Amino acid sequence: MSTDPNFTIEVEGNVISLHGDLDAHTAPLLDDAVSSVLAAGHESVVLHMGQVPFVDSSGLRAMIRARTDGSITREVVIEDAGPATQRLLDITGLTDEFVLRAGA
Amino acid sequence: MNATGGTDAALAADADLVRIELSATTEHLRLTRLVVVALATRHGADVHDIDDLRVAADEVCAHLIDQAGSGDRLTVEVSAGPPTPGRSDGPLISLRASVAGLGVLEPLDELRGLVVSATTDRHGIDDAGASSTVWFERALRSGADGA
Repeated sequence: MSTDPNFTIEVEGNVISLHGDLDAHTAPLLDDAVSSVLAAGHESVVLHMGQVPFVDSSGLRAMIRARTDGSITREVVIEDAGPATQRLLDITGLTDEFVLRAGA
Repeated sequence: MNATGGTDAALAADADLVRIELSATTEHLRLTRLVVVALATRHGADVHDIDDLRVAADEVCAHLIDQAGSGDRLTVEVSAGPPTPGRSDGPLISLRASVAGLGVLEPLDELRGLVVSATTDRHGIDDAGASSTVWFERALRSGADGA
């Protein structure tokens, strides 16, 4: 799905696996992946972020958009959140907006 | 150029300055992060310093890029210098990101402001001149150079 060699996304069912830095440049790719998951009829989204060493506020906004578009709020699970992701969630007070869990 | 807008006659002998100029597009955020990390590492930054500096550099540059137009150029100056008596115990990392001709900048939004405030010691916007600049300073917590 991604043509950026430093960032790739794989979608399988409702699981979106991200590899690389999630920033203002790559956040739109996450938006596209979430759209495809929702278009397939899934009601929840799983973000596997074990291979995401960096997230900025743009990436976080894309994660928030995965959760709600204003009219519907859905469950977004973050699997294997790394230190950068966890710190960003802590700083912004948004940890409770997501379900954090270790991957299988 | 120091982080508060003045121009030093010369850098201290043990200070570094890196200046890069790029098109103001999001694809270059990764490069600015790499530059800050490389400079901070050379001055003894630990993993916590690096994480904070990387995200702070990204956020201030992204803030400018958001308001830049096609063809605008982003200039990023990163300096690392010795501890500043009374202000920092560790080496001081300063970053100034500028785009010419943007005029008055929008303030950092709430989310971005939270992130920059949490990861820097001081930050601000200088947009009264020909260039619009977002800057920050952060002292390394890890201690002396090369530690």
